[in-house]
Amino acid sequence: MDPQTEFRGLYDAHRTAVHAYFLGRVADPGLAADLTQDLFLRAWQHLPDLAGRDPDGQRGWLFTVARNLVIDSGRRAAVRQRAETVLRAEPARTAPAASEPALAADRLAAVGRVVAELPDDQRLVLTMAAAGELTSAQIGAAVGIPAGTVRYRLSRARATVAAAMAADGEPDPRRHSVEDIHDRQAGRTPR
Amino acid sequence: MNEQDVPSSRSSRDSAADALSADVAEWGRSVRLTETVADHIFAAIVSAPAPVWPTGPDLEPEPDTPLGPAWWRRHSAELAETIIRSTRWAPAA
Repeated sequence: MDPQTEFRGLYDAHRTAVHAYFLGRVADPGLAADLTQDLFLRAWQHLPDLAGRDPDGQRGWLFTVARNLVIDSGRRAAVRQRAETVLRAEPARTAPAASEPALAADRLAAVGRVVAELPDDQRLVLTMAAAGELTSAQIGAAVGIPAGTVRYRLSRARATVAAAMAADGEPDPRRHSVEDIHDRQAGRTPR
Repeated sequence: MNEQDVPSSRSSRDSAADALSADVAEWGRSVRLTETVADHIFAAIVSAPAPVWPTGPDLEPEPDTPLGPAWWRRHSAELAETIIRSTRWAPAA
């Protein structure tokens, strides 16, 4: 098999999961795409090593390098600040199938806003599950935490999103804040 | 609480949870790499020089002189003799 065909198989098998990981970590679609390209360029350069591994081994290699790329980028703090503005402005790229497309698009944008505001650990697992379609075990293996922890964080993330979405439309804008919801969950007075 | 309200309330909660799951799943699909972007990234990557497949450190180094048919005949004969000798029954002393 020629290198390009070999690489195509590797790329198609893992790109969605890897991109979801980056998106969950940096919450910026543009930067996530850039990091995905950086990662797979390294994979291309190490293809002889990767080609000899099974899919789990390949995924392990990719996520190890992906973690290092996010850390090495040194852009996490700046990215976190940009995340809200970017994801707030991010329109849905797929046409909603609902009969009221504008309403469906608004709802997707609202989900994006809430996900962007989630704590880092919850946003990561929720994004990997929703955008990467990975199981809790696969997310745990990629991130380096037990599957049970992944399930707990997913549950917390979904509860937060549900609460924030339920509050959507309330006249008081403070009700939209994920931080307020966390304060309430922790028994603290909302800020 | 009226007992008759319980199934209705549970059903309502389930419906809300289903709707939320559908929204989150739809959002997940909407933020994935599009095929166009994915193809663009792929094309950009493979435009770099193809990786060189190494021979591997554990492989026998290439000999200075090519191994011709004569070498392989002699090597095979020696190997066969070694195998036969190692499996031959020998009476205990």
